Order: sequence, then C-alpha cells, then structure tokens
Amino acid sequence: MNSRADIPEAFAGRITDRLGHLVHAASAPVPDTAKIAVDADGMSLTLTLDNATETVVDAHFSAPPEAAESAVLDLLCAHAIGAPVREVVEHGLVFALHALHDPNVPSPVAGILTPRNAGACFAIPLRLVAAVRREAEARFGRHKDTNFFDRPYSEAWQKLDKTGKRDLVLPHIARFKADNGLSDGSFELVEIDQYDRLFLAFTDEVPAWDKPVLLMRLERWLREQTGERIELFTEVVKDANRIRRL
Amino acid sequence: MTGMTDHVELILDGTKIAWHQDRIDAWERGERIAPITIDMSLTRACNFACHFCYAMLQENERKVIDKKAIFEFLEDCAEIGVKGISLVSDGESTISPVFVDACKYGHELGLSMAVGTNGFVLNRRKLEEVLPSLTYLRVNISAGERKRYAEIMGVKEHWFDRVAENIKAMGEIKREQNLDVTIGMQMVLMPEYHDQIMPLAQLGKELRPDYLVIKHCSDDEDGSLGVDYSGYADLYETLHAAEALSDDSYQVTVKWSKIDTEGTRSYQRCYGAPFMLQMSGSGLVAPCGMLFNERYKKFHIGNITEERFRDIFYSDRYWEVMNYLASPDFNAQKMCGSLCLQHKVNEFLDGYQKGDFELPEMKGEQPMHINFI
Ligand SMILES: C[S@@+](CC[C@H](N)C(=O)[O-])C[C@H]1O[C@@H](n2cnc3c(N)ncnc32)[C@H](O)[C@@H]1O
Ligand code: SF4
Repeated sequence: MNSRADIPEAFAGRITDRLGHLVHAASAPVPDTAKIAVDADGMSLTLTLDNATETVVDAHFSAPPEAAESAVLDLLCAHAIGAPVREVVEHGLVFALHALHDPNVPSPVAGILTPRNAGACFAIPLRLVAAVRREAEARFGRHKDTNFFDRPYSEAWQKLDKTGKRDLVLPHIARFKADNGLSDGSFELVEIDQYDRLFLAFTDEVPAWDKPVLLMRLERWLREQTGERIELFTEVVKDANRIRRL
Repeated sequence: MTGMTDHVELILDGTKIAWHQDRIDAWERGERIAPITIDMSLTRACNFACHFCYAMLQENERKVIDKKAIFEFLEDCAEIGVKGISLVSDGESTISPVFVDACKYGHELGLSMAVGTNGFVLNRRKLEEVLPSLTYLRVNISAGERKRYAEIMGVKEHWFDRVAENIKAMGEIKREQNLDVTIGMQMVLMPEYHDQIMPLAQLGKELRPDYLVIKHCSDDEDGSLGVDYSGYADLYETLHAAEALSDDSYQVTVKWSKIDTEGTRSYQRCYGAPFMLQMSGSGLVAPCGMLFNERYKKFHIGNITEERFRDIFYSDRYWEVMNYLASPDFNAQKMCGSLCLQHKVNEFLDGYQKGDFELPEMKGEQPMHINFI
C-alpha cells in the first residue's frame, strides 16, 4: 500500500476527493461463473460479466479505504461498468490516471505520463489488471480483432438538436471568455457538425500563437462543464497550391 | 542487392522502433525523448498536382524556411539526439533554394538524411551533389505510362520522360560512385490506378532503382480524397504479380499490412509522435501531417522560422500536445484520418503499453535505415 506522502502532487487533490466518496468499494456476492476475481498484495478486483457479450455489468474492489489505490481502483471500476472486459484491460487504467490528474499541477513526469510511470499508487492496480487479462484470456481467448469501444455522448446530448447543443455550450463559452479576459467578439462558435465537432472562428484579437493553447484549455473546460467529450476545431484552410484539385 | 549487404534487411512494411530500446525505456520512465526520426519538408510548395496527394488537406500558415532557419534546426536536432531526417512531408523540398545545402549540412552534422520527391528537378548535376549525403532517395510515381502519369500526377505527359531519366541517373550515379544510398520508387495506390500496377513494376525493372513500394492511399477522417478502401481486395492478384517481378537487385514490395486493414487502427492512443515527429514545409511543428491544417490548430506547437527547435522541443507546450495524444482525451480511431506515417510505430507502442507483449530483444544485424523508424 502506498503512503499518502508518496502520491504525486498532480494526483493528490483528486485522489482525496475520490476517497471521500468511493462508489465501488463494497462487494456484493455474485455467482462464480459470472465473475473474474483477482487479488494482489492484499487488494482485490471483482468484475461481474455478461459472459455472452464479455461486458462488465458490475465492478468492485477491496483495498484499505484510505489508500490512494482505492481511488485508482474506484475509477477503474467506474470505467469498467458497461465496457467489454477487454476495454478494462487495455484502457481502464489510462482512464483512471487521467481522471485523477489535475492538469493545473505539474505532472509527475516531464515526458509522457502513463500508468507505468505515474507512481507507486498504480503498481498494484497494474498487477490486478494484468491478472484480469490472464483470466479473461483463459476464458474468452485472445482477441485478434480490434477493440473499438468508445463511450458515446450521453443520451441527453444525443437527444438535443443543433440549437439545443449550441444553447448548452454557449454559456460555458461565455464564462470562459470572461474568465480569460477575452472579449465577446474574440471568437465564435460557427458550427456543430454531424459528428458533434465544434468549429470556432477567431478574430484578430487573439494572436495566432495564443489560439492553440486557448483551444486546448477551452476544450478541457467544456468537457468538465458538460461531462461530454467535446472536440474543438477551427475552420479548414484550403490548399494554396492552386493546381491541385481540392 | 546493389549497395545493400546481402543479409541486411530493407524493411519497407514494418517499423524499426524495437531497435531503439534505449529511447523506449526513456519514454517509459517519462523522460522528454527526442524524436528518432523527423519527417519534414523545406517548403509546402509543389510543382506537381498529384490526384491522391494528402498535402492538399494540410494547408497552414505558410512561412519560409530559409538557410538560417534550416541550419539552426539541423544543429538543434543533432544536439538533442534526433537521428534521421526525411525531407518528405507536405511539399516538394527539391524546389526549395536551401535543398542541397540542407542535405549536405545535415549529413555533416551526423544526421541521417533522406528525401521523398517527385524527382522532376533532380537532374544528374543536382543528384551528384546530394546523393552522397543521403541514406535514401525515394521517387513518388504512381503510374508507369506517360498518359496515365500525366493524369494521376497532374502534369504534362513529357514530364514522365524526364522523371524516368532522372530515376535512371540515380541508380547510375549510385553504382558509379559506389554510394550507400538506397534508391526507391513509391506508388500511392488508389484502387482506380490498378491498370498502372504492372506497367510501373515493369518500368522499375528497366530503370533499376533498388525497390518499388506500393502503398495504400491515406485519407482524412472526412474522406476528402474519396479513397474506396473496399476496392483494394480485388487487386491482390495483380499486386502479387507485381511483387513477383522482384529480382536480385530490384525489390517490389506491397505494404500489405496497411492495405489489409482497410484503413482501420488497432489503437486509440497515439504514442508514436514523440518518436517520429512530422513538420510542415511552413516550418510548423505539429505532431503529424494529419494535424497540419489550420483546422487542427489545437495541436500546433510552434514554428521553426520563429523559434529555435530545441526551445520548442523542451517547451511544456510540446509535451502538453504529446500527452494529449496519449490520453483518453484523444481517440485515433475516431479523430484521425486513415493510417498515418506513425501508424506502425503506434501499433507497436500501444501493443506494448497494453501488455500484449514484452519488448523483444533485438539480435543480429540491424536492418537498413535504422534511423528512419
Ligand atoms: C506529399 S508528398 C511530398 C513529398 C514530395 N513532393 C513527393 O512527392 O514525394 C509525400 C509523400 O506522400 C505520399 N503521399 C501523397 N499523398 C498520399 C496519400 N494520400 N496517401 C499516402 N501517401 C501519400 C507521396 O507518395 C510522397 O511520397
Ligand atoms: S509531388 Fe508530392 S507534394 Fe506534390 S502533389 Fe505530388 S504527392 Fe503532393
């Protein structure tokens, strides 16, 4: 188990928050055939499966409630429910890691952050996931096809028409502009396309090299505010080589 | 094979990333690793109008890479540990006034240099100047007959003759001067160019480059180029027949691994960009060509005509973008066009990261062009 002193600063706040209201810590009894239960170093992870679809219908863990690993495993369980077990193995910890990472605090590594280098609180979860993988492969075999699992936009979002979606995001955009000292006319939302991509158009008020950073920040803000995986784009620029065809 | 040690493999359909274990280890420790390979162009301009060209989709604010900018860039690359630079990306580098100097200076600095070109301006004199500095020179040519060449490459018919002459000269100079450079031809295959597979493979046999590679055509996520991926399956027989034209010193290779996948990716995170960076002929540093267009401004990091590359590389912004690609914020299956330059590297690193395999221990002689992963 990980002492709290070892927890990288970038995770500390969100780990504490999550430990304050763990959702998947209690374990309910389930029939053996529908379960993958693994343990490592005194912690355990139990996934209840629909064997026909290999989908996780329920997920629990056990670990000391004050341990940082509990926050990691709780988020892993949250990602697992409704996902194929293969998705849990392949991406579960990446999701947990990024949910715990406060982007406003320097990352524990200078380069690319992965569960393997994110610090000691990921070590046991990594072992548990490796064990789930072994169990799942023993039961279902190793998949040769591709895992395309991706969480869709929420039902509520999908039910909205374009105007509804605009109305949902515009107040958050206005708030972002105000918080960042940008005028109302600095940029505008020009389109939400059929794939739900949001296209923005900037005016000259925003210097060219401020735009990339701003776009990434705004996207993060909109995701936090709406709970949807909003994607931001700017308008396409056409080929300046006029002899080519597009 | 001419100029190739017999037992050393020329990998045209795969990745050499596993040979760079030290860099993978450093990446895994979370260090700021320099790209092993950078693919870039010296300009976005081009004298051709290839029907299949994805550079059409990659427009961004054009800046001029002059001699000072490229020399400083090359010095920075050598300093931070970049190993290979291919001048391919999104423009025709041979028409830049700094082309020859860039190849020579990069080589002098110890960088492996390579070029992808339509081959039109590379006459014998220019070739004699640059070939000694290059690891490979690859000519983009998607037809083996004049008329179809003109249609597919968007140029006049007689340009075909000049390019063919230049390709022939490449092989001749290589042999005369006993150079280490590999000469290649590349066909970007749209299913509707099927009639040109055999004529081109045959043309290669006459012009004698070291290889002809035939690859699928990439498109953006909106399918702007209109590639019919289902159309490849009918071409397998012809493609095998083209491969069968290989001989002792001429290798015809189909990039089966990409053609077979019909443009789909096995991975969602993009871990490859820090190992293999792409830059635009405008000087723009963005993780990959598919993200050059202004539309993807969110991913734009800096421009070497305005800032030193080493400063861009060490900036938090560079790593913010690279981390975004490696995070669940990003899903390459949904957000990228079909199979990019980094595809094979991504496949490998993602498989490794997911625990599909341990890093293989690489034994024996290194494959050729090790610095172009
Ligand atoms: C855009 S060109 C620029 C370099 C140079 N002008 C040339 O023609 O090689 C870069 C490379 O991309 C390849 N290419 C262009 N469009 C492509 C596409 N849609 N899919 C795959 N490869 C493509 C070309 O064969 C060329 O080797
Ligand atoms: S020669 Fe290269 S850059 Fe020019 S149009 Fe053809 S593929 Fe594109």
